[in-house]
Amino acid sequence: MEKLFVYLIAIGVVLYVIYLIIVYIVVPILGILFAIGLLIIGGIALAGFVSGIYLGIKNFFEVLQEAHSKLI
Amino acid sequence: MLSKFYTAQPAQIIYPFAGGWQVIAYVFQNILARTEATAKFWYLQGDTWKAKAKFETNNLLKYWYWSAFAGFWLAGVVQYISALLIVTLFACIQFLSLVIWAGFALLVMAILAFSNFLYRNYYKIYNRCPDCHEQMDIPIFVCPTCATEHSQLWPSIYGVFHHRCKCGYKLPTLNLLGRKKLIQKCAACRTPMNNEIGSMINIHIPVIGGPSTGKSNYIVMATAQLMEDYGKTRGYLFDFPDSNHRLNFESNVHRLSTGSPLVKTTDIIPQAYNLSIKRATNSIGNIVYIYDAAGEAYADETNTAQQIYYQFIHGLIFIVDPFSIDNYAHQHLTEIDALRTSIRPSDLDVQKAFERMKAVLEATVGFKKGKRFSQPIAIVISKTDALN
Repeated sequence: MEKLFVYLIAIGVVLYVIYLIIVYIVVPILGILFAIGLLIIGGIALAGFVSGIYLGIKNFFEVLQEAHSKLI
Repeated sequence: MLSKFYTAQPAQIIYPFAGGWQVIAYVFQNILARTEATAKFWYLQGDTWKAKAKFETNNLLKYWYWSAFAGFWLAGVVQYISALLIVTLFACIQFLSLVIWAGFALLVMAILAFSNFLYRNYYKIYNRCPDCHEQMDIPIFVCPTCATEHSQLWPSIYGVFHHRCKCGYKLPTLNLLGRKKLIQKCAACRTPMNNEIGSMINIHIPVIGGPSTGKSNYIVMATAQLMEDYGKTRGYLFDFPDSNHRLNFESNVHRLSTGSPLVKTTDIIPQAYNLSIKRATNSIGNIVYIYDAAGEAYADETNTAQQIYYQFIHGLIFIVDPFSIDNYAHQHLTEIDALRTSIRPSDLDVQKAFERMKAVLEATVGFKKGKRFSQPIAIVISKTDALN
């Protein structure tokens, strides 16, 4: 009986350790890997947005100038 | 009716009524084409990562490659969004600016048009052609560089203070700004008109009488005396706004001073000759239209009816040749016969000439029952010194 009790405690400890490993090591690593993907998406999209604003303004002024030159 | 206020002009419509709106349309049409080119760059980059992801066996790398593809695709979409944001912002600002600008321009136009209307009506200033006697709202103005004719050079959608001619020359729309320095033509007969027409108060005086009553002689001598004797002592300034009229007057004065007769007037519908009269202290002078129709104009009713300028007249000068009065002619028959070639008695009876003049007045000015004709008439007896 006493042996069984010790055996169960050992299983519990192992499960707890596994739980700790999953929660504090595996999930964060997976999270980080997933976040890296999201960062890639966000970073590129942000770069696109910034360049879009810059090129948009540049194109806009070029087109505006072109439009006015065609009026004369 | 609309053409009275708006006729297409050989000038550029001002920015808030045309160009500004064309710019909005042009920017919308062309900015998308340019954005498409930049977006395509991002899509191409994405496609490279997509291809990499497809052939990658490592799942983590595959995931990151797909993330890169998604990032590039989003960046491509964002190009359109940012471009649309900029263009929409521009369109809103441009729209508001154009509406305010156009509204302000219309308001200034309305104020100027109304002031001009009041000024002209108060002073009785009209554009009337001395040749065809047409009254017009505005004469045709000619561009000094390309000779293009502008039929409505007034504040309009072509410009409030200036119209820009197709050649690029800026034409002023107001007399204050120098519009009267341009060549102006009659809108009906296209004859060039002198520059004082439309800027001075009109006075129209026909000189009436049968053939050989001495109308032209009277006009020349009376004008010379008015300028020399009356004007100088009373501080009036006289001028001939039309250089042809001045030359004509000077040559006639010379002819009379040398004892030569004037050339016979042949125009049934006469060209009015203009004389400007101004006091040095007055800001605005008068422009007199003197109508010297050939005596034949009153010889028959058809010719008399053609004297359309009667509708404008402010007074009349009726010339009576005493030798065309039957009783007088009978009394002095022998003396007249001796001098017939130099006296040249008028062959139109005074009463007939008067009746025809009255008929034209009735037809053009119109008489009202119980009312008198308000314009004064001066009766001038000519040739009074012929028989001593």
